[in-house]
Amino acid sequence: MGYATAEWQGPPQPPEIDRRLRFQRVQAIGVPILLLLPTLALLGVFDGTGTKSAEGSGLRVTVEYPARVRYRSREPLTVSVENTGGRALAEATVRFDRDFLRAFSGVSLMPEPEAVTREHFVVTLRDIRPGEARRVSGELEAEAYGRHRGAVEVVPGEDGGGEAVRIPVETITYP
Amino acid sequence: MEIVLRVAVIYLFVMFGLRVIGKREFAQLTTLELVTIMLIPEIVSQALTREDASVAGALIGVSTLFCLVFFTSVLMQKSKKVEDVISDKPALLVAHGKFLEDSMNQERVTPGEVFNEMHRAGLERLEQVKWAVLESDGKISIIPEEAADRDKGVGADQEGVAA
Repeated sequence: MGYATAEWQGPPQPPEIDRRLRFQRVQAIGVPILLLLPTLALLGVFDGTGTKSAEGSGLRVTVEYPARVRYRSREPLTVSVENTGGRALAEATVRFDRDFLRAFSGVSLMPEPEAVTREHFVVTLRDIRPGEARRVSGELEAEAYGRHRGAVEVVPGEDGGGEAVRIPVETITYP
Repeated sequence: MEIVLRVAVIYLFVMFGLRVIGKREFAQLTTLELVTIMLIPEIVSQALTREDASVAGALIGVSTLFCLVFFTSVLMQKSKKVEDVISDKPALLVAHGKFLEDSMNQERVTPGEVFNEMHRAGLERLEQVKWAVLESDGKISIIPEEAADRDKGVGADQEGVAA
């Protein structure tokens, strides 16, 4: 049994053709449809954070919330409260709509809510001096599909007086 | 979104890995190769979706994969260079009744494997083989001396391509 060197001495190679792109009808229609999902995903359609700010009653409130989420994904929720007034705020409270939070499971907020009423989760922020800021941060795990609307309210408290600053939020949860 | 990039990276890496380990490995599955194939999805599944339990995530991942596969095949069709890079070239294992030792070692094909294919083709002696080719898909094609001689001349006609 003999051996030879490893050079191509085999059958004829296939001839080359004029290579052109030709798509079947189903591909011409289907590929753009298939391409749509990754493109939308890269553009951030399926996940995104919303940021809203409002001022009033000596407060500047900024809410960062999950605007678009996918089922069971955990997303951050942050509320920043800055005292822009001239007086210290002893007992400002941040109120989260319970109806809104009901669309999520595993809701964790820091600092933890001191009270849960029929309508709100209430987090108390103590001793915010003029120019100072406090933050409530947490995580939400998307549970219910669909569009969920609610609001985050910051009430200056008795010392600060004034109206509550209300920021409406909306989250779309994809299945 | 992250899942699109994750699928693209894993796809390119797995394609690179399969290209590197060679065509022979996935043509005939030994126990080791079977274990390898079973382990790949186990290893990459977490990295692909990162515990994403949503239908939207699954659809995005699958459509990303389909698009990558489609565009890879489009690139291969359009460019011979891309085709050469992505798919393995056939390797000649036997020429005119003789083993091509370097080629067989390079492709990790044993004489026994060539003989198995010869037996399937109804041949018993190496001298009966004009060419044994390890094809791009990992299968070994046997062209007997007689068949190659008989078809001489016909092959030349077939080299032209109809418009």
